[in-house]
Amino acid sequence: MKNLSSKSLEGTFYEKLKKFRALEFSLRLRLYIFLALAVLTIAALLFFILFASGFLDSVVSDKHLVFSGELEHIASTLEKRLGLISSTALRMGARISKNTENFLGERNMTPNDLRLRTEVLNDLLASEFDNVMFSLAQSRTTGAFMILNSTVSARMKDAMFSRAGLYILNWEPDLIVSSTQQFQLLRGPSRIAIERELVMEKYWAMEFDIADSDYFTMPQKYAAVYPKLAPQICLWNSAMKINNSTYKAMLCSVPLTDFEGNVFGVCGFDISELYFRRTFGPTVENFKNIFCALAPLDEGRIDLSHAMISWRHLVEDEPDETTTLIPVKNNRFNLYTSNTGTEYVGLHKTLKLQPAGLPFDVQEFALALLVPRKDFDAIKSGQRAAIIGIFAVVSIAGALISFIFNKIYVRPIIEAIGAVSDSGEGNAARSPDIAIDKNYLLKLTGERKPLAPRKITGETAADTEPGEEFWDMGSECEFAGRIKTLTAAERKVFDLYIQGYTASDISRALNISLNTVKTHNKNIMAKMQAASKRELISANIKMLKDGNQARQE
Amino acid sequence: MMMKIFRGRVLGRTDILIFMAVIALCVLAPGIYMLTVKSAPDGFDPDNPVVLTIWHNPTGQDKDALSVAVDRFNRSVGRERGVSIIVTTIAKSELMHEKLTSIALGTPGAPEPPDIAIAYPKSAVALAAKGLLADFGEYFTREELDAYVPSFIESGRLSDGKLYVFPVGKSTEGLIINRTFWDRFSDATGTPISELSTFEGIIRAAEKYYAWTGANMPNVGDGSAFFMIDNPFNMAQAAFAQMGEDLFADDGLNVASPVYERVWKILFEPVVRGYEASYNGYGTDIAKTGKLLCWTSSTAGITFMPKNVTYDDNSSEPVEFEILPFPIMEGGKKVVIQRGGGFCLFKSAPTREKAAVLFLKWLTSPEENLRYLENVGYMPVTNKAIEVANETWGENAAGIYKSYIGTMKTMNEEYTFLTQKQLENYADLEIFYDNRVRKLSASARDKYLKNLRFGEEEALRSAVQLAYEKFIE
Repeated sequence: MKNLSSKSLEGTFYEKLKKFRALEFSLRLRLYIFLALAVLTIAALLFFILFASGFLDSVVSDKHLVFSGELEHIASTLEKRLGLISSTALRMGARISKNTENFLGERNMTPNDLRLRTEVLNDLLASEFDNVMFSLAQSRTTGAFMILNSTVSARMKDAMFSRAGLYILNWEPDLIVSSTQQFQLLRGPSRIAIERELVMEKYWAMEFDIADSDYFTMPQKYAAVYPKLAPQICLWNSAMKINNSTYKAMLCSVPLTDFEGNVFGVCGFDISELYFRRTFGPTVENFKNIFCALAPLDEGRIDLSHAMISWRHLVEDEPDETTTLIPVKNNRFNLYTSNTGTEYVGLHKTLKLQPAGLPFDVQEFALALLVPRKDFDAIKSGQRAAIIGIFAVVSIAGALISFIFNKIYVRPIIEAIGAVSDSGEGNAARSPDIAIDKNYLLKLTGERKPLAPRKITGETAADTEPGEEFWDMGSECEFAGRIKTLTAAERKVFDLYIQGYTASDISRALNISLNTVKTHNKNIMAKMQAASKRELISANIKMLKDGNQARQE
Repeated sequence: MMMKIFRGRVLGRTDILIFMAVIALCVLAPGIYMLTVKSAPDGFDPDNPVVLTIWHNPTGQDKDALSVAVDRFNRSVGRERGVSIIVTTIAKSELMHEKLTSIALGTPGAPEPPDIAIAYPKSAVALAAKGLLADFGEYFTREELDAYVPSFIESGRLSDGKLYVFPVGKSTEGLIINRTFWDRFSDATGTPISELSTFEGIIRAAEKYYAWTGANMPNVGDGSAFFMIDNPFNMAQAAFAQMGEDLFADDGLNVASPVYERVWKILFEPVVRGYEASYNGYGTDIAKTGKLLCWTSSTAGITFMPKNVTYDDNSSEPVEFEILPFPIMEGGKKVVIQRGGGFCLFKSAPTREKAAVLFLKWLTSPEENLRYLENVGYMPVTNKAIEVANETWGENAAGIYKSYIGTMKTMNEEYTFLTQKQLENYADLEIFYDNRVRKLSASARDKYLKNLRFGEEEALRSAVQLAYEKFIE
């Protein structure tokens, strides 16, 4: 049953195909269809290549790759740089702790005495100046500080928040050839700056204002609770403006402790906002308004208000630094929504800045690479427009090529066939199964060599259109009479012969041998009194034309 | 019909030509697009901007004025035209000079040169001698240069006549005073402020101030310094010009002139007595501690003024500062040195040089120049911008900025501005002169303090003995 039904189906299909073929599309339409198919095939092939090579997919994945690559690069550079600063800070802390103990020991004092005997503070700070400068040069960063848990102004109104110390800034941390001109004193006794010809920063003050300053309180607090861990404590703090100045930086600080574990201050380094902006900006092209932020990470939220932000030189608007961003995973990228409603697209990575294995919670930091959503979407639609554009161009080019090919090659064929049709061979021209012999078309389109034999001249020539030449083989009746002398077999060969078929074509068409065809040809030429095939065809056309004219008259 | 077919062959040739033209158009289209639409005539491409680096001096404002201008350029003309500027160094002029000199000398570890950098002619001389600088004259027409103050342009031309230092803002020198302290002192001693118009008057006031401040101090010689000369070499040039002479003679200094000793006395003896501070830094720094009342300074120094002075016990008090015209030598003409460097253009690809010039033309266009320079202590560099500044800058000025407007008006009307001499050894002479004055005066001051127990005059006599001879050696 199954075989039968499939056979019947096959039969139906073949029937349909036959019917379809029997529709007899015109040659013009067939050629157009052929060319259209060719264009479509090329377009399909192009799509296939683009898909197979992953180009279309890569448009999206490339963006992600570039983004994540840039994020990794900056994150890795930052981790190394800040790691170096942390380790240098721990070494500086150990040196200052030891030196301070020695300094005070020589005066029969302990660090705890500093709160009462403040007259030694300036000398102590002056004695540590070189140590802090040396550490600053080692760390290759923008600032170094030491703060003692003591003040020279103990009796003053703001003494609670005033602490003696040193804060030295380095304007050119990357300068290999060091110069004293690159350092400035931000905090510390003026005598230290003036004696060393060190420029005092515009917002110079003698002491630190440590109100709301985690960089001062937290390391001391943890060192007091976990004295054994004190030598490992080096905490990075959120970016902040140093109180009573415009200087914004991210500080890392380590506690200063004596050998008994008493905590008497902190020291550390900073990385300034200006330096971060100049050094760690994103370098990737094509992302308008891209920026990166080194920000505290609080319960998965990125706090831009305490971040250091760096953007490309072509940024249109500076990133909003007052917001907190909540990331939401969205395909390959995250969507970040700020509390002011601004949306960003990008990625972030948690950085390993703080020491591992501490028994207390420390501030986590993340590096985020972000683009305002409108700019990100603009790139996406731009890329989509580019792909559509490419295919539009390919399609238009295909159509154009199709049109030109039609004009160059197809139209002459159609016109030639039309000419034949006009001259009485219309049936043959319109036949869907007609095979176009090149030689025949050459004849029809006039591409022939002028042949010497009898040319029509005089009155006959006047009837012809300029450029047309016919061989005179007698009148129409004579030619028609000669045709009648042909045998049935010869007539069959003659009919095909004058259509331009070659001997081998005729042999295959009539299923006779090539020699038989040649014999028939020889007889035909003799009976028709023609010298060549060309002459015979020409005479036949003339006969048909004359016949048409006569009918019209 | 056959003719039409034959004609078809003729049409075929035309078609082939059309076909080839279409193919050629397709191939050339991107190039034509790049040339006609994307690319400006000067070769910039907004989608692929020329990125330039810039070094400049800081201003004392919370947001550095030039960095703000650079941001504004990047977001406007830069974005439209395809030029972007990145500030890679903000350093005070002394550090900038060191960096530029190390580039010129090829010192190991010298930084990579930027595209444009703020420089004084003393730095530019060394760079130009090494063929590292481009001539701005190639990028400006005569008409364009005519819009600028002629002396500003001339001060940027080096000995070969080429314009290597392009002005974007010019400062001069004035006398910054702690007005709060002055009023207190003047009320107490009756010293008129007119004393601050001459160096000799300043020394007279300084003597009174030293005695007045020392009166309540426990020890002799505990009085406070009254004034300081920020840049002795500039002061010496101005003083010579005020007296109608030139400090420079035969690639050296005009030691033979009596003015040379007169200037020395102003720079040396008051330091020894303690009336004058001697410090290889800015007077602003000492003024922050309340230990200085006035000092000659670049007008650009007004942006670095604090709002308080802080004493050694960390107590502080709010004060106000003002800037007065530059003092003159008694009997001299009103001459003041013109300060403020300009931008040097490092030689590079023509497109980069053009891009840098585009930025500088934008920065010195009257509107942008006024916006950039308001409240930074610099004068605009085009005649048109100066006119507007004179009319509008005083409207909302307050504090030291208000006094700056008044002082600049006075100096523009009454003073002659002296451009720094274009000498190859200018920087060497400057360092030598300043260091020698400071070293000798500091050493003499120590000697003076040691000998005070023998009386002030005896201490002074022993301290200054043969000092001038050493100075002119």
